[in-house]
Amino acid sequence: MRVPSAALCLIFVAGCAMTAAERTQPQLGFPDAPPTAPPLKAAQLPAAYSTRLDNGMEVVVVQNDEIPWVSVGWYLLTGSKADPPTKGGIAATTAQLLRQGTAKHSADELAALLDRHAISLSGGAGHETSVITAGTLSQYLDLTVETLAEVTRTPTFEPPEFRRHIQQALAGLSVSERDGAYLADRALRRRLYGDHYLGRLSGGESSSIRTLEREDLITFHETHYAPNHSMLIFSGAVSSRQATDLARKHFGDWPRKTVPTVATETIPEPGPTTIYLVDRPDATQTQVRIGQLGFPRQDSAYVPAQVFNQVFGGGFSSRLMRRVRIIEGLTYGARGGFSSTKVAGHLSIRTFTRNEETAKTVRVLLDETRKMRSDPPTDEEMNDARSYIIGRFGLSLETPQDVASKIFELRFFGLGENYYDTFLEQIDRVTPDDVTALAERRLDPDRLTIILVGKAADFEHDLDGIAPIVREAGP
Amino acid sequence: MPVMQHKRFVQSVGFVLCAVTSSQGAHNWVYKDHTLDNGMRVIVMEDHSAPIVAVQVWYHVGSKDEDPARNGFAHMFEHMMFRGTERIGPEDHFKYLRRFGGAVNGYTTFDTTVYIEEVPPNQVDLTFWLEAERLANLKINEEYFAKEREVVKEEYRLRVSDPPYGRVFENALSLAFTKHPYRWSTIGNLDHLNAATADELRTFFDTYYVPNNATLVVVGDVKTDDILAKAKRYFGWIPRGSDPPRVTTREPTVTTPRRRDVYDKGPVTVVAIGYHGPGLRNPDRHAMNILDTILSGESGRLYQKLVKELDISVGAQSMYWALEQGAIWGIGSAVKPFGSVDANRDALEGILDDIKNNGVTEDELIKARNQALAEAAQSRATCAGKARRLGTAAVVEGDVDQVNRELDDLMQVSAADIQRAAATYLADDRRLTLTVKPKLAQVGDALKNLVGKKTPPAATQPTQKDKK
Repeated sequence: MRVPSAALCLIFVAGCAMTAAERTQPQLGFPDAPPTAPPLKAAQLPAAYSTRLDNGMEVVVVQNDEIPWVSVGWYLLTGSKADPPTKGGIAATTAQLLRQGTAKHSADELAALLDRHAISLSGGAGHETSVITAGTLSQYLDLTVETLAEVTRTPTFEPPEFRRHIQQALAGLSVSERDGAYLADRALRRRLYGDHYLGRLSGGESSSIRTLEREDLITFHETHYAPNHSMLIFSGAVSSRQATDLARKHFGDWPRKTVPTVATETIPEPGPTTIYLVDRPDATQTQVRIGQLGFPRQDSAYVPAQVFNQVFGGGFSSRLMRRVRIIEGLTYGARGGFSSTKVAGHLSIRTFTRNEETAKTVRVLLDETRKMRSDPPTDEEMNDARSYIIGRFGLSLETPQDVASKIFELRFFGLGENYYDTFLEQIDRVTPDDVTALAERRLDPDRLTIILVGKAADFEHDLDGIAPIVREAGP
Repeated sequence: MPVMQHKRFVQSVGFVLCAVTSSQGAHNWVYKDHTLDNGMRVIVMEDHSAPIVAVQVWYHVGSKDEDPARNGFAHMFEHMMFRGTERIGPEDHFKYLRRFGGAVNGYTTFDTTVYIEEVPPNQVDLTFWLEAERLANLKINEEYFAKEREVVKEEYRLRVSDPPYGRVFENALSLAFTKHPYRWSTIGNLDHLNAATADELRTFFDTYYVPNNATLVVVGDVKTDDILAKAKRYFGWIPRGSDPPRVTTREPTVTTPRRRDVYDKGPVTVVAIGYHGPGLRNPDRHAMNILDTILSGESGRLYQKLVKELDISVGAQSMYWALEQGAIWGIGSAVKPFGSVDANRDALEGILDDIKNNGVTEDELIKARNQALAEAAQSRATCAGKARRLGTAAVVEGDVDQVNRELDDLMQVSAADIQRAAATYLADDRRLTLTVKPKLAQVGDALKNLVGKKTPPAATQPTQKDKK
């Protein structure tokens, strides 16, 4: 897009009037101040095609023929929330192991078939969904959907592959359990959500993975994998007609199932601010997390929270980053903000610092947290945050996969087709008072959960007066 | 193999052949490559599929260009470039562009330092202004340097000294390179940074941050002529500098195998076998690239042999880490708990022997060609991805038109090419073996050493100690 000619003239005039800079030379035409142009009109989420098969499976298509590539994602509307509490990791392990043998192909045959056609196919699970994603050159789309349906519908979880997978998962977790960031994130989740499924990592932990049996996966698959509880999303060089035909061809005769509802534990009430300390004597750095329960995605607080997040800890210009990295030089990165799932949400602050600066860092973070209640965002902070969210939305729709993930979000949370049109308008109307009010209602400095994972001997004595300390057992 | 797969197999051969002859023209990268009077190179490619522009400034300076006593300067600069000028405050670069949803970042490699932006099309002027301003007028002083040095130290702890296996990469580099400056990593050395002054940084800046060492890459919803005019207006006035010095040190060929054992807080033993491979300006890279693809993946020889057939590893993979002036090509495995390191090493060596003696199969070639086609398609998915590919070809590979030739070259690699390249690069006397063992194993190995039952190779401690 061309800058209007009037703006060019202004830039040119400004350029002539400028003072000499450090490298002295003619700077004809180089403006003295950064050129300005208004933000573009807010972008619109492209419409997607959708239909439902007779067996209840929803099919969504986002067509974009720019490159000869198609992604196909099969989304199951449950995840680790359906894991029995003592056997965390079943949903994730089931999804990861789907390609290890089917009624028609052995695991080796599948690997050869997929690799030969450069079809990527992998599965995983979060707390509330499981997803199997396949990516392919458009020439092999039929084979890809056929294989996706085959692994989704008729997996055999070959016993040797099951054993191998458990061994690999345990080896991976043994590495993670020596990683401070992993331990800190895990501890925060446990403390915030207790026995609720959000208190566990969706992938499971070594203690639970060790107890899994192949029959657990078979049962999970039989119980929860159902077409009427799923969505198939095509994105890329595929027409809605072709996608629907392929979905019907490979998934259409999969019968409906009655899927049981899963009972969940309640989320505990937050207690007074407490520091939970995990000692890692060989650590050179302390991982710091501060958290508090928030609200689910559908809550009206979600809108002002997006602005709050930008002002507080959403990028290089945020208050957290300015204070902790740019002014104090305590860290390489600091982020913070509210995030939400379907049933709950939480505020989290994440950073890390050298062991000796741990107490100082915690004090600085708490100070910035309190200031979100006492110091309303400035006009500049507000404008920057709002225009960032609106501009980023437009820039985050580049690929059909980007668009598909937004469409999935709308459907999963039941937000409605036109949600993003009004969402961006609502963002534009958020006031500094809205942000302060959110902080006052949702951010209680006396009920925070603080997690420190590092070499305790280097900082424990400096923590006096911040909050009571509870020592956590190591990994 | 079921009949159905045979049919598909034949179809895929047909498809690969068609792709080589016909799809190339359709997916030609049409770009403009122009050099301003001051030596700054400008590469523009239009892509009107979305209202997005990727702007990247590639400086041809990386960790290999550093003084051996000042490791980490190139990366330090990536940080200093965001500290601002007289007119732009620290980190305001981010603020100006984030206002429009823009994404801003930078990264440092062994050969280049790259500053990247992704902005709406009407913010190209602002983006160019910010990039030109810091190239011309960057503020470098002791205060900024001291602050940013602390940030880099925290980054070092995050990436190197704290996590499991954080030092393995440094060990691999110093094992592979003895003379060439690829022997140290981009994050550098904290002692060197502590000893450095802001004046030294200024000298580094004046040497390498000159327009004649920069390539501006723009891909997106723009008009080429408009971008060239803007490039001239915003960057054209900055005076040309002296041509920066280039690294002329050549790493001597390895003539006797090297082995090193290191101990790490990571709990799984890792065995890696590496070789000096062809760099990104060497035509042999295509054969070694295809070989890398053949060995990788669940159906590849490494996983099939070590993890499935022999059941001695929890994972196995290949790696081709290619740079401007050299490369490490290697394979490795993660040893199964209580498994044998020797068995892993023997199996890895056996796979390479088999390749050298018997070559690869046509089936394996087909798989690799399809993978190359898939990668080529995906590399065009975003403006930023295209800009990165253009920048790499222009600056690191030294030939921007590689973007239009690479796929053809990969498709033409034959089994004979691979066998010949393998015989050259993967010769036994060029082998580098790195074994990473859990710290707990250190005690056992020391005891074995004492009683003289078995003499493990001289253990090397990680090369750097983190100074507090």
